[in-house]
Amino acid sequence: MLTKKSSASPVRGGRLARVRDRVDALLPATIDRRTFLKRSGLGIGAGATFSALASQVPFAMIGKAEAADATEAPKPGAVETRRTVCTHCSVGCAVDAEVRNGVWVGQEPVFDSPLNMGAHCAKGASVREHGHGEMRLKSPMKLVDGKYQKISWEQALNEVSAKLLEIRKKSGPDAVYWIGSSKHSNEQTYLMRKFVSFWGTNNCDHQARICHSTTVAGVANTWGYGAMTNSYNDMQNAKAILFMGSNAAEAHPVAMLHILHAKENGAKVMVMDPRFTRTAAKADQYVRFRSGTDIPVIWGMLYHIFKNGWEDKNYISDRVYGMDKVREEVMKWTPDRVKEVSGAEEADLYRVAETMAKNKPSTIVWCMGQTQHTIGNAMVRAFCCLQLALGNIGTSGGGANIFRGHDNVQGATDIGPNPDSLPGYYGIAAGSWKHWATVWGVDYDWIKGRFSSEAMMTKPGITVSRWIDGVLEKNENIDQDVNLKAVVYWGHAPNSQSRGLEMIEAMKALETLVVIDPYPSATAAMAAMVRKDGVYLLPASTQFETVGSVTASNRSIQWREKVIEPLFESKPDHVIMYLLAQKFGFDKELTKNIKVTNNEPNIEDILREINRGTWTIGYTGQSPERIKLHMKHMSTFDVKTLRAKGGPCDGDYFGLPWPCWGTPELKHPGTPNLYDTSKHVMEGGGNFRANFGVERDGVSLLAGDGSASKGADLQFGYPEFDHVLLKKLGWWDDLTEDEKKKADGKNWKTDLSGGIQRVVMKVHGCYPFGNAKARALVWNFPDPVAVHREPLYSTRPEMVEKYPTHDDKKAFWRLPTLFKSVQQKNIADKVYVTFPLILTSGRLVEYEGGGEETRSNPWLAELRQDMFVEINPKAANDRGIRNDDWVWVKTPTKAQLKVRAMVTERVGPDTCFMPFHFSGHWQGKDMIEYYPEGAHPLVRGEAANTATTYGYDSVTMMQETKTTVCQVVKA
Amino acid sequence: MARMKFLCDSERCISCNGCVTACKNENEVPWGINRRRVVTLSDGVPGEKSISVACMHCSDAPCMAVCPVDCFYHTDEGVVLHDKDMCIGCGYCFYACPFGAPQYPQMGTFGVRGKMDKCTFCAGGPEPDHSEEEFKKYGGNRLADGKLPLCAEMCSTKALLAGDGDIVAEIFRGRALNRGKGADLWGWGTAYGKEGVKPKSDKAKEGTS
Amino acid sequence: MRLILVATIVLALAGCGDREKVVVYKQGDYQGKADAAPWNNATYNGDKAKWESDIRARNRMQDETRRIGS
Ligand code: SF4
Repeated sequence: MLTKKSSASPVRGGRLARVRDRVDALLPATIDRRTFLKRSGLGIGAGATFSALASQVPFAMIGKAEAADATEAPKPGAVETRRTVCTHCSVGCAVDAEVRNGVWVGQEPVFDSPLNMGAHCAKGASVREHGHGEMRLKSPMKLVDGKYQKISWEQALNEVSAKLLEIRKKSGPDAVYWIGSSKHSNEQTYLMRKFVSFWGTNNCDHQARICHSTTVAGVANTWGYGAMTNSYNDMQNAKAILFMGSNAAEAHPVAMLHILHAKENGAKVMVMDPRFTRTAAKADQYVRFRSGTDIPVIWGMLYHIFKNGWEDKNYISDRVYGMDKVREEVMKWTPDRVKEVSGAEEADLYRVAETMAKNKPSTIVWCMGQTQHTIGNAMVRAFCCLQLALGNIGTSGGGANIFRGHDNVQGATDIGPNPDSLPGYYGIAAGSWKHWATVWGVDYDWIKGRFSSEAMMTKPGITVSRWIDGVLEKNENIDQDVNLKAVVYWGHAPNSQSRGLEMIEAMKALETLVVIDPYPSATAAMAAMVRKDGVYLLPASTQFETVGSVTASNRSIQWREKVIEPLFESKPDHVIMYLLAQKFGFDKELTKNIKVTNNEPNIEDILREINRGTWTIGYTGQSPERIKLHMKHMSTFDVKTLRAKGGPCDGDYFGLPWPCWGTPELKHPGTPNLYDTSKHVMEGGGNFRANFGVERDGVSLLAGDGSASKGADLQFGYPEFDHVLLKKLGWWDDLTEDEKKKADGKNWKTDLSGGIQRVVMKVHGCYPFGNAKARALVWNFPDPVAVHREPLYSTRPEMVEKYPTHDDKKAFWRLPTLFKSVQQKNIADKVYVTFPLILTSGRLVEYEGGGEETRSNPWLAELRQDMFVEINPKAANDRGIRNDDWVWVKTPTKAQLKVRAMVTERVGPDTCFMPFHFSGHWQGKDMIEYYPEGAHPLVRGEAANTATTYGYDSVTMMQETKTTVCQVVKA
Repeated sequence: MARMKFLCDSERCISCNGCVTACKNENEVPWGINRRRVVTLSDGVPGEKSISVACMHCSDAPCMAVCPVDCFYHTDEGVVLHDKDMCIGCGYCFYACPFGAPQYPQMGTFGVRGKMDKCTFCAGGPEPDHSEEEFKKYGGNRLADGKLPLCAEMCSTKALLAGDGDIVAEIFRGRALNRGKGADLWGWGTAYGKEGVKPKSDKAKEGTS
Repeated sequence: MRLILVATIVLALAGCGDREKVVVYKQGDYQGKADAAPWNNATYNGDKAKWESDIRARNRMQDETRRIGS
């Protein structure tokens, strides 16, 4: 129906023919010859065929680009294999791409990869389609009189930079908001943070804010780092696996290869979720509970653990601080009370708790089901406490396996555009800026001069979840001089943020909106729906059209080779950054240590710069050479331990999972499982981080005596290392003279020589960040011990009364943030009567994120053509709704979505579920006319977030999308 | 060598549709044609099971038996293929096939006048191997490269196995033994009596792990 | 006999300047073009044993336990 093929006369040569067919049949008249040649594979090494064809092609010039390709191309007609990594989730499945004459003609499974062993889900098995991408944004465009018009790159760069510079001059650098991407490579995401810093603002963010920000904050504050502690592979060593708010079978399908393997070897798999997911279908036990009541459920389990004495008492006394306070709260959660609040039965929770306690090591998995709540930061900490009580953190087979979403959301979180931190979680205090200024080779004062003031330089920026309020909020209420005047969407969907109705208003109010993306994205269509001008679209290349590294959820770093040249007129993101930096006048500073050829900053140089600066989380040992070696010798790595046995990578863990300490020369093997004291630090061992002082209220925060990583000189708790401690311990002289010079006055995070890390680890077997206890009690958070609070939009007024939310906040990430006033108003207005159903959202296996890219891929789009809402038969029958009926989903924002009803027991009678990957319909209307011609996604539908309501996490500004309310009526 | 066979392990299948898109990728099957599909039973309730279904390359193939123009043939490896130049698109094989494997495209290179299309076990068709004609009509020919169907090679959980029946059985036997049961294999119940093979027994476990 | 019949039809149609449209077949036998065995090509040069061995090796890659070790 949509991808009709013509039966036009074929060109010689198997696959090429069909590429030709596709081009003929599908491309709008706007296709240019360069594109045609590229995609038909005729541009290079096919002179004869080309001239024969030239007459059929209404373009008559041969550009320089083809000539350049020709020099790179191997023997014409030969098939070359290039190794890359799937761009659709954080599992990091390797892909072998077969390329002939510059065309991506085949895709082979990489059986050698220890991460996926050749396996792919629907998305990964279809990535070759991106190498053709008929529905891509093909050239720069500008909105003129409500229609997108093609413009040249030169015009686009000139106009975009002029507009932004004008805003900067008029309103200051904080008036522009930069939304970066978790789909950028590590190098691009790092360069983006640097770029935004040189623009002079902290107003930047990316997808991590709205997927795992609560995890990162909650988990890092508990034990040191906010990342997945173990790996997908290590789950094969688990004896029990508990999912809560994760649907791995759809969101991380290849993870299930490891999980089902564990299950077949006897591991018990349990799923607790408001929805009976595809993962639940594979579980031994499933427990349903009311969305948003994760804390009562977890405390309900811990209740049985404490009551039966199943907790690991030694572990708690040696390695955990504040568990007694947790216990006090937990014991209040008697089975009756848990049932009243969450609906979960005592017997079920007892069984899950017992299974977790008696089948150790046991592990937990969570995703957006726990993070996207107003109390997300507390939910994830409650889950951490469960694992700490059981002594499961820091053991193979245990851990908190927090599955990340996008392919490089881990990398972007680590070193990308975050509003509150420079690369490597250094934060944005003056000292942090000085550290990075040194690494970047630029003057600290120069950077400071780029900001409107020193205060703004050290004040966290607005988050992507709230940029709309940065535009719409009254000026006197926001904590920066001006409102946002321009937004740059650089590889990020708009329909993944909540409150779509208000987003449209914000888009209307902006002076300038820039979209930089391989696809026009829903941003383009939404903007064109409400604006006549002031919107620019710049075509970016996908990760298959450039090189770079990517960090999987398990912290392993992989290298992507370039599969094909940039399609159409697109340019890789780092090239666009450089070109814009030129216009802004800081290109020299941006690339001080980085070679630039043809406007392309060298990716390897960028990675080396990352290596030189990111000591906090050990992004220092993963040189491009080491990562590439791993990609080449994947078969030498063991699947269960991820460690290479023999071969050139002998002893390394696959992808040098961070922290990979010290310089590359130190040859640290990477850390497969964080905080694992059973191993020597030079073998990937470790312990909890000392990041919160050494004592609190007279209680030591350092690890107990005898608790330290294997072989450490100090077999007790110790603080983090700096030059003073080294001198006190008499270890200073282990440094070389050169290292001493550089390390004096520095600590393990700021010593650019790497000497402190080397001596501490290699010579003395200790951990650079100290050896402390994990904090079950996070005193710097609104709720130090996780307590249940009802969502702002609750269907249970009596629960709101018992478990009210937080008080409103004034200046929180530069914005006023409402809690109690919204909740109370909802009760007063009896919103729960008008909207009696809980609305939650989640993933489908075929699509990713906002979904424009995957819904533009015909191989995927065909599989899911309708946006739908899952509704229980009881709720449906009460409303006269039959399966497949068109229905309106209405929410308190007054939004209404026209979708198909999927009547199913998957959800309980009180809950509705919608997938969040759709866009392109707006409250019943198809938006196809607002997309640039020929660049609309093949499948369009209502975006779930058009209808979502207000609500943000009290620490990170994560949006609440998992528990809100709705009503469903027949359309 | 034994015959080429598919086997889908319903204990492993998570209905991720990887096989479906892998097939599209390898064979460039047009929109609307699905040589392989994932079928889910008891969708959304406990007991939910999925399996991936395509042409099963039957030894005594009903499609072959009923074809009025005899355009079907068995290769030496047991793959059921057909000659699209002879196919008249009558749909009789569609009636005969127990798995709904035959597909009828509206148009395009895959079947002018709606000729039948189905899974080829990634073995192309009667045209010369790797020729443009073969690709246009039938899709890729992996067997001729010493490779097996991409759907199985890319399966996310290795639920779908494809290849020499002996080896497929060998892989599956090892797995079934490891989990100590085989009762949940699709069709096992029919083949070996209602209850299937013994449920989980620890003895079977000790044997392998 | 059959040959003659086919020849007649072909000739008759050729007279109309058209391609053969009606297929003549014998019930129960494959009537289409002959297919080459997968080892009869440039890659395998008719070496059936090598092809079979390659297929078996490739087949075992679907067995992740060989890589993982139980
Ligand atoms: S989306 Fe994830 S699981 Fe699927 S193939 Fe890509 S990396 Fe693997």
